[in-house]
Amino acid sequence: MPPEMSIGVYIHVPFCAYRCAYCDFAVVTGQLGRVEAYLAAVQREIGAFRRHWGPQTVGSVYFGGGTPSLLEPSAVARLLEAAAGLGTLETEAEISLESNPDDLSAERLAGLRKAGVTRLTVGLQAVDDRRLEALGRPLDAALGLEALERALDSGFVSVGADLIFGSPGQISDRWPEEIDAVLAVGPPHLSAYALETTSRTRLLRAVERGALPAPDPDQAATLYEVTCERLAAAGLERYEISNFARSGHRSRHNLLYWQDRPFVGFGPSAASYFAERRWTAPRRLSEYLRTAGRAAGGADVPPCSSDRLAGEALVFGLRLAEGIDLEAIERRHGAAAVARRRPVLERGVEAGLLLGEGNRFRLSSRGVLLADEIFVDLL
Amino acid sequence: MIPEKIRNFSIIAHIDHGKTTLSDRLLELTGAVAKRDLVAQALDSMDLERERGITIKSHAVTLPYRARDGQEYRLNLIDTPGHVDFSYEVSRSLAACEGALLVVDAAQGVEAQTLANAYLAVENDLQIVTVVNKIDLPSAEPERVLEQVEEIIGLPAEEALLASAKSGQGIEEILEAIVQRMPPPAGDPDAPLKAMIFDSWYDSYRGAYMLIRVIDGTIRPGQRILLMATRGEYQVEEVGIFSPKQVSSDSLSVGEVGWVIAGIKQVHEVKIGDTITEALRPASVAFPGFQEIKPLVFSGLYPSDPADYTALRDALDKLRLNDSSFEFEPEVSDALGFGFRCGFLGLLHMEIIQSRLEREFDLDLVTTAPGVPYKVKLKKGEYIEIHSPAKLPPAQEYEWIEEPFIKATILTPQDYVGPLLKLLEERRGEQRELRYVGPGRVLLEYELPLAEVVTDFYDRLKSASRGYASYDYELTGWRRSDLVKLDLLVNGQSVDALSVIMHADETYRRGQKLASKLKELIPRQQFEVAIQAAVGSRVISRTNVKALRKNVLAKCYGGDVSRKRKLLEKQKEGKKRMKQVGQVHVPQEAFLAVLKLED
Repeated sequence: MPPEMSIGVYIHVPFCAYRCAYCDFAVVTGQLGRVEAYLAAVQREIGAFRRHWGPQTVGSVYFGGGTPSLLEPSAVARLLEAAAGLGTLETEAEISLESNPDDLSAERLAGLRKAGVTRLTVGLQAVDDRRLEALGRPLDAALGLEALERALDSGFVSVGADLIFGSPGQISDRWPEEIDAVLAVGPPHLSAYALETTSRTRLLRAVERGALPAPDPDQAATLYEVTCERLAAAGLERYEISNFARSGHRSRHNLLYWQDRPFVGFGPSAASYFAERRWTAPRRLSEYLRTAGRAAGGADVPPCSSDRLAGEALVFGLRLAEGIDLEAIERRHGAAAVARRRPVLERGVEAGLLLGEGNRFRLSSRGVLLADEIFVDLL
Repeated sequence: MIPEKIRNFSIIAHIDHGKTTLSDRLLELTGAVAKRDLVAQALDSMDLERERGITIKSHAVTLPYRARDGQEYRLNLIDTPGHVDFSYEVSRSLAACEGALLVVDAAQGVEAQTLANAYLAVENDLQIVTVVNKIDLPSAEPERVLEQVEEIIGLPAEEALLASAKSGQGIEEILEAIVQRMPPPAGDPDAPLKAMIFDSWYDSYRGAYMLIRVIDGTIRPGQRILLMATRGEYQVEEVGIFSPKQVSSDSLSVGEVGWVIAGIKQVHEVKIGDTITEALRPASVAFPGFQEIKPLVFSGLYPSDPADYTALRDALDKLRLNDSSFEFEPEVSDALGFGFRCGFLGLLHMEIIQSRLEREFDLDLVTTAPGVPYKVKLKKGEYIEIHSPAKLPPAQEYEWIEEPFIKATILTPQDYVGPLLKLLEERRGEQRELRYVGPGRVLLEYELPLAEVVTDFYDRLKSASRGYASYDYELTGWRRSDLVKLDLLVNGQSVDALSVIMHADETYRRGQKLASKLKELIPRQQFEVAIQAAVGSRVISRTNVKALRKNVLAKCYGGDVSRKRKLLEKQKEGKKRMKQVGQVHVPQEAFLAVLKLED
């Protein structure tokens, strides 16, 4: 990749106050005592990376989790400083942080802003107490909306809200009310994710036991369509399958994932895509702490084949509403890898899942809901 | 040995009545096998036989015996297969004998196989010596059993012997009865050679072995022989007996039983029941009773992994080297890919072959539901025999279909007669006999289509009678039946592997059941999938799989491409394992589940 290209930095913060029922991320609860060791490990990791790969220009930093808002602002500042130590942190860099509403006191918000966070996402997940309970989140819906409001008043460049739909027992008719409640507070960015039950979370086990009704994929499809309509009417444009924003508020960091651009992850389970390599840090915190910084991330990983990377560029690029430009992918990963997949794209157009125009392809409105039907053949 | 000093006999019994233990005891007592070498069940040489307690291959052992009269005798024990699948082989083994020991369990009493075997022995003119075995059991009731022997089989109770093969009690009396009561073989030592083949197997060094009984004349190494049914000519290389070790001898003559090798390369060239004669001086007529054995149960065998196709073919070739009674031919199924249509003598035979393919050749197989052969009378005039529903011509091209029928003999405690009659009616059975035999026991004879017993009949019979009913059957012939082919269609396209031939009255019920089962198993696709069960162009049942509305992962967390990739690859793997019927992806499990669908 061209050396002048800036990279994104993802920092995984594994600490949580509790584990939500649907969560299958690398998370630990009740272990804030290990924060210090964690911070040191991330610093070691970043140092090793820089020594091996040389200085980088960083265009965005994203604190994901876990619950990054559990960290003291001073800890966030230390991590940001470490990230800057990779080379140059662009002056206009986007610094995002995921938060849980009950961490967002005015004081914490001010501290995070002061530490350098420019973009805050608030994990509401639901604005309905019964749904919060089904999702295993011991929170109050009204307090969540208040926290979002405070976040909007705290001077961040951008604020987003996260919602999950398709939870067990969700009543379809009430969903528009939830969306409207969030829209009334007015975040310029919204992520709306359909609940996934691909791994055996507490929620899935409850469903299997019969304690909760099984999520209904047809209902999820309907709720998704409702979401798109509602948000479009409110001026939030869908720019990726699950992401909506007013103009100028798209997540610069998340776009890297979909636009086939480099990012480096630190912290347990963090994924990286750098120098044509993909790697993932150890998932378990104790293993991560033991090994972080021993070797630079990606140092012992061979580059991926251009065929694989082309497939991934297509699959992730198609998640964006603007779709993909085959020529750009050809330039980057070679003509053969793209030519091999062209028939799949054409079949997708025939089946009405894709819209094609010359070298550009994007998902149709039907295709958005059935994207994986094409993606499996594109990989 | 002169014929007067030879006795050829079989042991016949219902399963588990102690046939094998008695054989072992006879071997031990006559000194053919030393007690310390007698690992239980010396005669059953295949692992499967020992495991299942069933004799699959025939054997013949020559036992030297000095009788109470001071004379030396040679007793040839011809062990018979203990399962109805091999009834032709049983009949040939019995035809090689002059007498039979009919073993009846002193606690269980006469069972269906006891009866069927006794009839076979009578048909073959054998002198029957009844042995009531296991008299040492606390639950033994020899008196009651003897009554049954008289009542059900019609053999005189007072001539029966009481014994325990396990403890050795009464064994000498059995040996004496063989010598005293069974007739010696009769035959003309100077007539042209006539010997009946009652078993054969393949040896990779010596070629085909034949197990024979000499009727007339003598067979010896160097002789030119002719197999009368197949017209094959060979030169005898070696002859001998089993003692039970394989021993060569100079010749085998009238009445003797032993093995012959004659440079025959393939076991298919040897037909069980065929007669061996001299090529230069052939006998004028063959020993009676020869039949071509034909498979009665057919099923498709497919490798789970298409890459194993060649390995499966090689394995089938190898097994057929040693078993000429099973057949196979290549078959292509839309649903299951490339495989073989295989014909077996019966369900047990099928199970044996499948299990050997899996165990000895390490193959993972997909097996279609077993079916029977059908004879189809074409409008053009001739008959064709089909072994797969896919081969049935369109309805307008044939006049009728015939199917094989059996006569089933069932013995049951009277308490279970009700449920058994219901089962037999359901299976299109026609009653031929219902008779009370002895206190509380009922003999049922039914004619019913073979197709109705090849699936789960035996299990159903056992559960309807809490395990007490016993069952045996014999083939009676072909009969015209109102049969039709039921097809399953997925989006209008018929799925070959799922077609079944069945009685017209059954199509509605089964069609609905099959269609709804398939609906459960076909995952939702991008479009609606119609599932229909149809007979010809008449649709009997229809249902559909709703179109898939959503299949997309919502989130790509923290750029974790590898995680998402894994999930997509899992989907892709699943898709790969599916077979395409038109545009529709159908998981292999769906075919299997439908094939296994219980009635």
